[in-house]
Amino acid sequence: MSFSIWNGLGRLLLVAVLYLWYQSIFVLPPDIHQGEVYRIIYLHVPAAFASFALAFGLLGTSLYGLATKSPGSEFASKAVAEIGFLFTLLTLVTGSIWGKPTWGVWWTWDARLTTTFILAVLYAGHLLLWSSLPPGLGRIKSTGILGILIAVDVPIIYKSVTWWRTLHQPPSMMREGGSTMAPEILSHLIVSIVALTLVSLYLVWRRADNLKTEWMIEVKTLNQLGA
Amino acid sequence: MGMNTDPWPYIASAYGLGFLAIYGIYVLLMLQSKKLKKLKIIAEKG
Repeated sequence: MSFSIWNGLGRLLLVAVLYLWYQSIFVLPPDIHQGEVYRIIYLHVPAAFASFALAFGLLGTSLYGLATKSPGSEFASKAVAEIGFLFTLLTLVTGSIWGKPTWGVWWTWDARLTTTFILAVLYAGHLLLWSSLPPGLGRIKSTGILGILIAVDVPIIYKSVTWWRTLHQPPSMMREGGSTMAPEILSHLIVSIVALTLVSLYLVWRRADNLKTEWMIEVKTLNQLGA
Repeated sequence: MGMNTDPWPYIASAYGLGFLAIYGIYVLLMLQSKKLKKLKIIAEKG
């Protein structure tokens, strides 16, 4: 498929997410236990899922970079880390906003919150490392190793609520004996997760394309100066 | 949740920030893409 078709699909997804948010806020019924405030789940959980999916994406681009030493993997890794950082921050902020009315605090050093905070710090570290090193093999190796470490944090975040006593609720979607959620809530949540994850991939694709164009301009300019 | 807490400011803040983050980044990426297209044409002309 051509660039414009993919781009059109990405824009359609962005509109679809707005429609899903409209349903999340105004159409779906309130939760029996939490009332209206539970509606933040339709943004918080999909943002978290997207940040985890991007961490695995970063694992893929890092392994590809380490194996092939291709400069293309550098752009892909940077784009994934940037959008992954954005979605991790969104997860932390929406979780904090949800925490205040439900737990009574904006933040607590709970295992789930702390491990997610570590993910944000690791993403930020990856971006700092990328920016502070010159392009080439050294940068591919350093950021590649950090990219692998970032993916290691994801299973720890997921299991944190079962490994340690936490304020954060245990898994309610993927658990033994099936989900504890009402079918209506669960189906809308799954659609929201898929849609926001695809939006995150669209943003990664656009950013990687911009980085590649930037690099091409740089190479062309340097060649002309050299000639 | 405390029964006296009004949930709507929290819901509005969460979705408002979500909107700014996702659609804000999208707009910035589109603007960057437009600028780079122009620069690419200039670089190709030499």
